[in-house]
Amino acid sequence: MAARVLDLTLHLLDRQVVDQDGGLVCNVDDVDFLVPDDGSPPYVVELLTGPAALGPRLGGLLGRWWVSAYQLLGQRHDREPDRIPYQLVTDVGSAVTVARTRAELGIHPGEDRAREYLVDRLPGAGHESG
Amino acid sequence: MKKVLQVTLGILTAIGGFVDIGDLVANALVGARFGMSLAWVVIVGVIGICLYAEMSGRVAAVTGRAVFDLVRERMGPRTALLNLVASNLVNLLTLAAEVAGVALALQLATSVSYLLFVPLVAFLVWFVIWRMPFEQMERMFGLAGLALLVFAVGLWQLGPDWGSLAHQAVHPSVRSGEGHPTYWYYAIALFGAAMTPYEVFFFSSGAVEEKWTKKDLNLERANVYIGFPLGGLLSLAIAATTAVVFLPRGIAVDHLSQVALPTVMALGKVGLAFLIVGFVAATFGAALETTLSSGYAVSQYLGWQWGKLVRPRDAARFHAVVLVSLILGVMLILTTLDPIKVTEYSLVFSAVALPLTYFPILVVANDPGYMKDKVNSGLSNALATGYLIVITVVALAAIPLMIATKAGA
Amino acid sequence: MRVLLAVLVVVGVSGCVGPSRTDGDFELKAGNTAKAVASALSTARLAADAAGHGKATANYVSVILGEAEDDASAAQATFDSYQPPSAAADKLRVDVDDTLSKAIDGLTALRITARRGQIDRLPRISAQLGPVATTLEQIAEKYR
Repeated sequence: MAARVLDLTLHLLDRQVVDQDGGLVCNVDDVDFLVPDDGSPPYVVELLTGPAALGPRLGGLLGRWWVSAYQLLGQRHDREPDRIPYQLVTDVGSAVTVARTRAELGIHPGEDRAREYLVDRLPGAGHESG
Repeated sequence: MKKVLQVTLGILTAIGGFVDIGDLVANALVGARFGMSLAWVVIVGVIGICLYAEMSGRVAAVTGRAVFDLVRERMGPRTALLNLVASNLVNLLTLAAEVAGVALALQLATSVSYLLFVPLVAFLVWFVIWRMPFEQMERMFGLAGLALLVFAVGLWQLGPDWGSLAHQAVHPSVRSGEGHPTYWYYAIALFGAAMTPYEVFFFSSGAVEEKWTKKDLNLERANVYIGFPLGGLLSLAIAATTAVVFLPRGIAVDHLSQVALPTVMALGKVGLAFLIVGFVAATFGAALETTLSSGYAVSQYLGWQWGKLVRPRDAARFHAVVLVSLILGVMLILTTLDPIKVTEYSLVFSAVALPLTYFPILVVANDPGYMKDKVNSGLSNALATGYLIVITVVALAAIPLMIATKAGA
Repeated sequence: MRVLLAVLVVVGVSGCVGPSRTDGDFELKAGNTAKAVASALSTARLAADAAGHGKATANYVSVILGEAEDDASAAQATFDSYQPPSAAADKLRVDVDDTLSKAIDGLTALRITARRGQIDRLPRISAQLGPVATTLEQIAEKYR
């Protein structure tokens, strides 16, 4: 995607990330950007997602609690957010589209657990209902 | 021809889907206690829900995103989280009331205690969400809910003094023996029943599930602008039946069985059969909608895959939330709390939560960044802003009135 | 959230039985109780008449009668738990309680008859309960 001037809070933060097949991936919980030394404008390097990215944005006790609760649930052992390189982004509209599938991005420890421990154990989990 | 059929089906579904346990209880209760003197509240509420449902459907059709998805973008994660928690608590209360409503209707048919039906009903709700295609689910329960039109037939058979009913409606006054706070308390409950927030969550997420586009906007408007007002008329018919039979006799409505009584007196066993089918369909449909709404709201806030269009295993966390909400709702009802009281509280707390739902919709529907040329017109903005003021006043007044009137005692 | 909880507690507590310190207070409670029981009795009589004329199923009428009986009994139990503040209130309590008991006995009779499937007998019992219903309504009217 060609360079484009974005208002971070208005166009990126909290947007839904959609994969190349239209599947819902995650929300943009935070972004990492780089400020070049030569004085040119800063640019976005990665989209951050997951409780470790959302927690600090919630702020205060609630934010810390948010991150810890997810750790307790065993989602991750570190406090690092999941990252999506910004090169993968193909479109920024009412959602942010990335040129990968959900499986390729592989940033769903929570989804995987819910599937493994609950949903896949129920009959018919693999069939569309419509 | 296909188009006509589609529009008709949509409208019929909207009528049948409009009434839920809250509308049944609130209208019957208010009719018995205040006659038609609160009919204006139903009308005000129906206009409000039309206005905001149309907006949320339009947002969904244009952006492909559901309401709660956009709430976080517009309000920030912190405020949106507060919003999510509050809306979901109210939604859970409503969910519990709807499940209990299905069980109570089955009790009327079988005389077996409703508590025994609650787990079965909850299982069926889960099963339908798990297996039945979205559109089929909507159609089936919406159309079966049309059985409730028997209220209107019953009212006509009761042969009421139409002039007197109309007079009560046009010249609202507080009856002697009732206080003004109580009158306003029930006005708020009735308003909460007509404008229940889950309806717009569900409406907008449903629009995304049914893959609406700008082309479907006219169809959507027909459903809302014709279906909902007719649903409102049905609500008024419910109130009128109890106003005719119960008001002169000083009978207070405390049970679903009483909601049915005037119509049963007028139409006999056939009327009863229609009522029970209608009760089951309307409350079961609403139980599905509230359960799905819990899943929608949480998933949309966190960016998870949601919806019935994908295989359950591809929306695992969504289905986990659905299941947990349903279990919590069932647990609440199995405490043997009076389901009618649960319904009343759900209505009042819905009224409290109204601005949380409706304010973000208005903001997004005005954002050209999302809506391009489909932003609100000046007229709908003026109306919607007026409603936002009403909604805020209602939300602020609800709890003080609840305390002052000892919850309408 | 904390506010919500506090409100729930307040609402919950305010729904409970309050002390009646004066005769006026006690009379008001007698009136409200009579009103509640009269409402249950009227509901039951309407349902019984409808069923007797073949307009309602046995299951439906037995549910509605059972609920009416439960409501009336609960109202009487609450009334009996009030402490009468004076000798005059004592007398009122006995009088009102007597009428309440008659109404509840009638409701019980209706429920038993309905659940035995003797639906056609319901209107007669209902007619016999007319005078009690009138007395209850008079009490409710007098002390409100």
